[in-house]
Amino acid sequence: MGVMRMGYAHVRVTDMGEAKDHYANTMGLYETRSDVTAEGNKRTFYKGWDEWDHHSVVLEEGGVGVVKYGWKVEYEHDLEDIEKKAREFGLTVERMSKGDNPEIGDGIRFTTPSDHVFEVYHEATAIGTEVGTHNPDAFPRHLVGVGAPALDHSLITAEDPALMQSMLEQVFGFFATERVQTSLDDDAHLIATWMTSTNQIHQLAVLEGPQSKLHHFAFRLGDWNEVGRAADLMAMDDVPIDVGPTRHGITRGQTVYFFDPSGNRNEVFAGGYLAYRDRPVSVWTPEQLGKGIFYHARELNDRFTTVLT
Amino acid sequence: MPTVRIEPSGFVAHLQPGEPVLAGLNRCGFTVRQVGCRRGGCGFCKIDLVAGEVTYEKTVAESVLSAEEKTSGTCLTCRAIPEGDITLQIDNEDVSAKPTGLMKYLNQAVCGPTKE
Repeated sequence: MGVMRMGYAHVRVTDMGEAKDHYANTMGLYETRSDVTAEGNKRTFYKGWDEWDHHSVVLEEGGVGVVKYGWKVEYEHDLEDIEKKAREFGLTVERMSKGDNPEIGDGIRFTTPSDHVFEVYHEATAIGTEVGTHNPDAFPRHLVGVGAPALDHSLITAEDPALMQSMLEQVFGFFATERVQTSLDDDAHLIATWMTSTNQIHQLAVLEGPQSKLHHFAFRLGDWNEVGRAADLMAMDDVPIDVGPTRHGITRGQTVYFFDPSGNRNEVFAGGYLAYRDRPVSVWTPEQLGKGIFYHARELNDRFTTVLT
Repeated sequence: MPTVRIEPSGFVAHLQPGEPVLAGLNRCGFTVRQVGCRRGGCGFCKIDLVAGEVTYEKTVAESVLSAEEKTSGTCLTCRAIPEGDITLQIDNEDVSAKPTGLMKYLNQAVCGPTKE
């Protein structure tokens, strides 16, 4: 089937000690590895409680913003297929070897038209979950803080969202579930697009803005109550909340946006309807964009659309 | 205790030792509307520093606040900690507001008698 999900987000943090406190103690991720890169940067690897692969979040000390994303494919031959399609699209593709990323197998790497680095891989060391797979309980009993089960999606910015949409369609086989565009006309300008390869409402969204920037990466939660509880924990831990708790018009998801100790924007996201390839795409136009982004307040602010790392 | 004077409004906030400028202004009821991540990642809350000095105890990415900006009077308010009294210049009323309503009590509470 090609790309199954965003397997990992690798981001930069200014201070590893503070970052670890946030991602481990507030978000409740499980640390699975820590090391130092050849350049001397500290790294920490995490997974959520409901993820079985070795890691889904990698923090690297030095700067802010996103280093790269990893995309996991179902079959080994998907790698060749995506490599071929990427070259056909005009991208420069390089091979990556098992061990280039700890616990991640062979794969390919390319830079997108938005200047983000994408890696595609098939194998990751499976370390399983505490509840296991044999008569599993509903969740681990001693979750920490928010206890996020999994990485969910990310939003990046690009000078040309339409070009990124084409790339994601042609190279990854993604489809759009929702779009923001200047009008309903055929020649309308695409402002943003929400894309996926599965029933998950979005795996990657692309918003018009500067190249190579991170708007946010999000963790999945179960429902409104969990989103509200996460916000309570952010108050207890002095995590700066950007927006929420509220609902998105786009995707219908329930959300809190907040910042990690380095200023990278995070989100907790629950709900969202099921995506299908044959479902008509929802289209938002600028006069209702406020409602599309923040369904209750219905007002966009500068900060949400321009604060990036 | 360090003070932060805002020009041209003349507002003076009394900060606690070690308190970042932005957090101190907020606590004293002064609104800086141009605020981003509050954690030094985006550079949205930079304000011109016209007198005094600030230090940065937490690491700030060079891409957010360059070495040149640090020495040329740019204050990344969410991370900057005053070294003594400082003065900031905010000419644009759209990005700042002196305390009104109940907010005006916030700064007084700090200036007034210490609570037992």
